[in-house]
Amino acid sequence: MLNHKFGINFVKYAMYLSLILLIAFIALIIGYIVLEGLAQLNLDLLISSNPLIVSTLMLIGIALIVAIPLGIFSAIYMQMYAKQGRIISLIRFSIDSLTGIPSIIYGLFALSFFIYYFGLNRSIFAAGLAMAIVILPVLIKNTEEAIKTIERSQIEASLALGATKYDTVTKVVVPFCLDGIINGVILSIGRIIGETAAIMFVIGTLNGFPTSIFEPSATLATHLYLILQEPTYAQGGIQEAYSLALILLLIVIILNVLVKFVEKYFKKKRGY
Amino acid sequence: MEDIFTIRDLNLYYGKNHALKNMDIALKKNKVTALIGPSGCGKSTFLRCLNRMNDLIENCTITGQIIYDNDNINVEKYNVIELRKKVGMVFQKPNPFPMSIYENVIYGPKCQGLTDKAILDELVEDSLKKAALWDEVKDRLNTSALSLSGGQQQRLCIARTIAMDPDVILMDEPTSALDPISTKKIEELMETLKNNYTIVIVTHSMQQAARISDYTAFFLMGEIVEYDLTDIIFSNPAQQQTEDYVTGRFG
Amino acid sequence: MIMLDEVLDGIIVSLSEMFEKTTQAHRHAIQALIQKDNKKALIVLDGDEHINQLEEQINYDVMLAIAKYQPVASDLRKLIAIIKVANDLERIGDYAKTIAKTAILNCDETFLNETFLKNSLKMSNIVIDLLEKAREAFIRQDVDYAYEIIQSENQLGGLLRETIASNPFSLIKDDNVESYMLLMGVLRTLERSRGHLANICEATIFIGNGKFVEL
Repeated sequence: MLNHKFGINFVKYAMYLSLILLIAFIALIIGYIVLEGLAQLNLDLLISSNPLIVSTLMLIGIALIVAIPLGIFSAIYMQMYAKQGRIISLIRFSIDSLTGIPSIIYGLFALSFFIYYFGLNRSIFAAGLAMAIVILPVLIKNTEEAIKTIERSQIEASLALGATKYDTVTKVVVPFCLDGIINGVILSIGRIIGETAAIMFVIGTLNGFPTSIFEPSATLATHLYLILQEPTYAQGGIQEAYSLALILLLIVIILNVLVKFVEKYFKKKRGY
Repeated sequence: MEDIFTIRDLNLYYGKNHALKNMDIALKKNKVTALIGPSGCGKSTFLRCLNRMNDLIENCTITGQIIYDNDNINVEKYNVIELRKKVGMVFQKPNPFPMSIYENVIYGPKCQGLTDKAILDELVEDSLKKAALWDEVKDRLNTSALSLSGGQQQRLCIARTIAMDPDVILMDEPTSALDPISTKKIEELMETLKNNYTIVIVTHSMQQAARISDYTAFFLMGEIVEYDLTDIIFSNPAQQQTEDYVTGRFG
Repeated sequence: MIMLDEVLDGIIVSLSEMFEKTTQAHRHAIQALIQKDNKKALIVLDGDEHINQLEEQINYDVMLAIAKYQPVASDLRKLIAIIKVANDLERIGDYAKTIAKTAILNCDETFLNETFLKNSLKMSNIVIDLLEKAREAFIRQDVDYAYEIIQSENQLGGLLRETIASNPFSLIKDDNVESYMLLMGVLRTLERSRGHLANICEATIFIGNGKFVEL
């Protein structure tokens, strides 16, 4: 009896402790960046980081435009249309495995495929394609999981009413998967913003304000990486790094909030 | 009295499992036919043959003739979508779409291209009235269907099916998940529905089959053991197996 | 939870008892009449109360069984048949009472003569015999036996017709109304018992093949 009670209490306190440590850790990181970053932050810096911000946003845009349709259609096909056999299982297994591959390998692949084989310029576009490949498995997986949450009985009900499979997918499945899809998008954005290894070698270096996506550039993350490698590379030295980090953090938060608003809008539109 | 479905030599296989064996039966138009029998004996499987819902199951082979409206529907090229408009189905667990009540009812017609709001409004009122649900929901057609009680949800599913103006309504244990009062309401509903539709219902409740159906078919291990007027099945069945089942001696 | 089979068995035991008591009542009643035994007659009159109680109990048990078990097919037919048979037995028991009352009245002042009493004994014995046979047919649910029994009660019919056709003065002592009333009383009970026995056989047939027959 005593042991049992001790056991329960021990677990309880261990959980509390872990939570506190975790919060402390996060607060420390964010706090440190914010404090140091704010110290350096001024209007000049913001203006000079403008091209970086724009490049980052362009990168996100391209990656999402390529990956979202591809990902959603693939997921829909695999869940709703494909014959569930060994081949599909194999494909699914491969996609799952892809989510765990280190980014540097994606970087290598992008370099060989887009730059060397296809002869593309080092550019935001090439980087966007690379990132699309990185986030595709995540999007597919999340969308598939979302589709799976639609109860089979709903699909049966739709078909039993004389609706075609297409009707069923567009009216019953997809509208109610949006949660999962958006979840996947949020995860992807987070990945894209912070990615360096995958796009390092295909994006090039900062070339002033990016006038075209087919020109080389740099993102906040890649620039930050270069600064840390070579502190003299930046004008403000390592201090600039903190400010960039802060800007990065802010962008992540703003984008996530935006996506949540989009989600809320769709939820309101369909009434629940 | 007309036959609306004529089934000849129907055999169904799940892979190697011979689930329905050599079935011959003619279902009567504008009557309620109950399918009874112990669990796993093929009643639901048989029901799903009537609107080709077994197509959704992999590895399922169906041979034999299922004749509806002078056509064998068990052929590859038969237009299944058209079939399901005329042969609707209500499932065991109420499954309204997570949309408003209004949108649930017009789902089918909308998929067929009907967009005129006036016609849709009328259709919604008509269908909900026929499903004995109108009075309870007429003031909240735009609220979510999921806010309804189980019994109401099931009646909504019935309204949704009626909105397609089918000839036949198939019901797969429609009240087994509902409380007794909802069950009673739906049983009363079936009595009025049969004037305009043919109803085929799978049920585990002997009392329900005896109360509401005109004809009863007793299924056992993939075969139809006896098929006759309900009055006869429950007062003086011809087969000993039927007698044993309805009196609760087994199953 | 008690199964319907057990309940049915219990009710049939009660019905069996009712058969027994009714048969016994007739035996005692006819003996009381022949032997001019007042005591035996009183036993019959007392026993009738018990027979009525049995019928009440059976009705109640059947009603509960139907409410609780929602029986169908042969179970339902059995329960319906049991109610009918209990009712018929109760009536037959009443007739035994009538004979017993006649016995008491005939004791004090003899109205019915020996010839009639001998005939009554014969016919009563047939009734008792048929009762026992009908009971067997019902318990065993032997439809063919039930049909056979109906045939033999024609014999009873024949004897009754004979008696009715004979000279009334060969049956009664004095030509007064009371004599005639007692005579009619006995004859009528025997006639009606025939009817109820037929009903019991029809009930047995009904359980067996679900058909209502009129025999």
